[in-house]
Amino acid sequence: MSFSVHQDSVRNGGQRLALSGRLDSTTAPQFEQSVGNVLGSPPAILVFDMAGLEYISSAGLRIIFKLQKAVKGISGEVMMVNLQPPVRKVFEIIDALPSLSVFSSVAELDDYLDHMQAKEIEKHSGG
Amino acid sequence: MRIRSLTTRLITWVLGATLIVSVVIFYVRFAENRQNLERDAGQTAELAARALVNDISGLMRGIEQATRTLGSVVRHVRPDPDQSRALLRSLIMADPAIYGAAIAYAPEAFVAGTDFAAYMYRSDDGGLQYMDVVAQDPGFRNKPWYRVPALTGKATWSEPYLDADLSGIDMVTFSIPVYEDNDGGLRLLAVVTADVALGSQRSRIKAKSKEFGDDVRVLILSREGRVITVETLHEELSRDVTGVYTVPLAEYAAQRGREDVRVLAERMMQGEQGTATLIGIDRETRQWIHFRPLALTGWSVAVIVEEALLLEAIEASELREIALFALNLALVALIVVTLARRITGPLRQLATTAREIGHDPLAAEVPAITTHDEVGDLGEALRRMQVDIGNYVDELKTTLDAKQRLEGELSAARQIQMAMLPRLPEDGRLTDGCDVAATLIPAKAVGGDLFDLIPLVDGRLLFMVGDVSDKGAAAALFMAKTVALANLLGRDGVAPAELLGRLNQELCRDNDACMFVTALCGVLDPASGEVVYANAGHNAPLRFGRDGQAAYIDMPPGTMLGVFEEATYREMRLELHPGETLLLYTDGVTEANNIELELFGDDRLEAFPGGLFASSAALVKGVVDAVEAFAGEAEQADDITVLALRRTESGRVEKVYEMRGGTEELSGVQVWLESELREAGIGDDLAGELQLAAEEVLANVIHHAHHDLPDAAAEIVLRFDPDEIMLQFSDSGPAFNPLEEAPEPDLDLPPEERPIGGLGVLLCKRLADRIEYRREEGRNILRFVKRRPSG
Repeated sequence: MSFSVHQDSVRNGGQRLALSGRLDSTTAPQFEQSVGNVLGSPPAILVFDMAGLEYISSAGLRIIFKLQKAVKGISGEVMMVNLQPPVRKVFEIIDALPSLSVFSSVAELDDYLDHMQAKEIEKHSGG
Repeated sequence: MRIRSLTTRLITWVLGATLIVSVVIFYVRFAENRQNLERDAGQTAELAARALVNDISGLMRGIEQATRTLGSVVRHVRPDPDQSRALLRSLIMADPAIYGAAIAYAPEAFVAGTDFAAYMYRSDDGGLQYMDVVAQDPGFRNKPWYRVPALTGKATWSEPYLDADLSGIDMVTFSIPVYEDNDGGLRLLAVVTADVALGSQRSRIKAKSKEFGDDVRVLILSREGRVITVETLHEELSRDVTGVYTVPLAEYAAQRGREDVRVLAERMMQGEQGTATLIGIDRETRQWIHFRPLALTGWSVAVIVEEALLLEAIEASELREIALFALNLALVALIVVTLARRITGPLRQLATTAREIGHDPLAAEVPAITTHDEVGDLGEALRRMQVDIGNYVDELKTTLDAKQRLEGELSAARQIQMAMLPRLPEDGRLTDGCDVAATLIPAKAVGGDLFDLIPLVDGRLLFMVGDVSDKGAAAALFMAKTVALANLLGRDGVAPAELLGRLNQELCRDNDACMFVTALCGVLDPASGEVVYANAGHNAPLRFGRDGQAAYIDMPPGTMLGVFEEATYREMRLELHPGETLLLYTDGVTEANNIELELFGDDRLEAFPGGLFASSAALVKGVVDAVEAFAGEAEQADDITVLALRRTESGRVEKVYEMRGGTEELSGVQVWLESELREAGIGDDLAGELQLAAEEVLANVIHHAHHDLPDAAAEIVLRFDPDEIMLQFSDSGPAFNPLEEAPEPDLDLPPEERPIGGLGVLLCKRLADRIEYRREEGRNILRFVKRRPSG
């Protein structure tokens, strides 16, 4: 029963959390601990890569929501990519998807980020 | 409804009857009048004819007499011309009817070698004119007035003729021959004549006839049938006076196709006497004719009476009668209408009142009818009826109020009674391993059926069906007592035979009313299928096999409860195989009757294909439907109770895990669960959902029941059934029903703003196909069930 989280940076000062394994009552404290820095200084863009996450319970959801709340607190944006069916079902059951930007693949997410970057540059050059 | 008014009917009948009687009377009178008319017409004509014949005869006889006297003078005197002139003058002057007279000697008879004939007549100026006939009319002896008597030797009246030569008037002449003795024989001496001018006589006759009526007319025919009177002839018949004289009427009529006139003329000529009617001898009208002969001259006199005239009189009287009759009828109608109104007016009022009394007996006002007749009597009766109905309605109201109160109380009693029966889960899973369903359909009155189903701690199920002997409140109370006692004993795990024994003893106590209960009580062990049961006089249950075959369980009847204190009950056993169903019922099923009073009966129940129903609930409903369809319109006389107990198919596998400790133990549970699920071949998705449910429920148990302390203890049962997978969590913590007591997360808020609590319970509820909580023997029991994916 393992859970791991890998954290790295993406463009535009964004942070990515790649989750894998089972995020349940047992592993949730570990997850909460490892994202302490993200909670402390939330990035403008937080990307959850769920490709490896096969299980999530309410304990894990609670931390996801905590992160979401922190990012939204600085008007940032939370994105999700590679949701696996069982996990996706859990999000659907509690009606959480509409508040997230969900992408089905990394390519789709990259397109979106490119688009945002272009807009940012345009704004700076134009201003 | 169309009312044919009494007034209309009265008028119709009275006027109808009056009309019929009047018409009959009128008809008889009319016929009589007609007969009278005929008689009168005939009489009038005959009377007139007789009078006229007498009159004319008198006239003629006078003339004949005078002429004969002159003849006898001539015979004896042989008057010379001067004497002749004097004789003729006196003759004419003596009788105004005589127009002229003549003395004509036979040749050589007056004086040899001389010829003498004298004629004297009335001139236009009123004087007399003398004429020497020999000189004026030498051929006179060839004329009929001379020739006929000279040849025949008889006095004779001539046919009417027109004296064209002399006066131009028409006349008839009476001629007599005068003879003298001549050597023993007789020799014609002279012919003496007297003329009658018809013109003056016509006026006389006309005047005479008018005495018999304005329109009475006279027709006189000569001996040869020539018409003497002129006015009486039809225009066509009388066109030519000369023609009239020259042609007889019979011949004349025949030429013009008047056969009836011809026949009349013939009869008159033959001297007959009689009466005839015909249309228009002189007019186009119906006429009455009486004719009789005038013997003297050989003439025939007919009197004509116009029928129309008489009819006019009759018709006038008839019109008068009709008018009177109509007046009479109108009067009768008026009287009838008035009378009918006076009768029906009050009747109509009374009818209206009677209708009002029907709607509201007290508000209706009975009209005051004071007449002392049948209508008055009716009014009085109606008034009395109003009072009676008022009283009756009052009584009825009181009775109804009492009845409603009683019904309200009964229905409350019924509700209490029904509340004493156990409530069953809809899916029939009261106890693992069996599918149970029961229903009690109460009859109208509070009845005494009962059933009970108690899941025992060891997984067995106690069942009981009973029927109190009577109906009504007493039976209901007795039933309540029975159910309460049975519940008490049953929950203590008392075996069926002993339970019935103790129930019997309790019910016998102070049972002065001698009420009793029949009951069948048993315990099913779903695991082994063993049924231990005992009977207290109740109907034998029916066993339905999986193949649809049914058979009654053979068993001794046993003593009913509540009568014999010393009664004991025998314990019996049977084995219920998986898929088999035991059907218990009360006699409300087998003794249900239809309107032909046939009973539903044991056979019909046995023939019921109970084994084919998918669940106990469906079977119970099927039996009830069958009974109700059979009963049809017939009222349900007794409570109907049906209880079905089916041992579910085997194939169940149960795994148990004892958890002890705090949150950290959850991973142990998950490891166990994962391996069990994998071993059972459950797919990853379903397994993941079951694991999620287990984690959420147990986290809740640890948090709520044990306040996150590390000594939490819970038993997890994982049960595989052919169609579903169940997770049961039980713990001995304080009562807590997470399904109801956990806070409901507000899904309308964004997830990051929602309160954290309750999310897990929500997940469980949403994931479960069935989830239920119950508190039993100090334990919280929560069951989470997922159906296996089909196929």
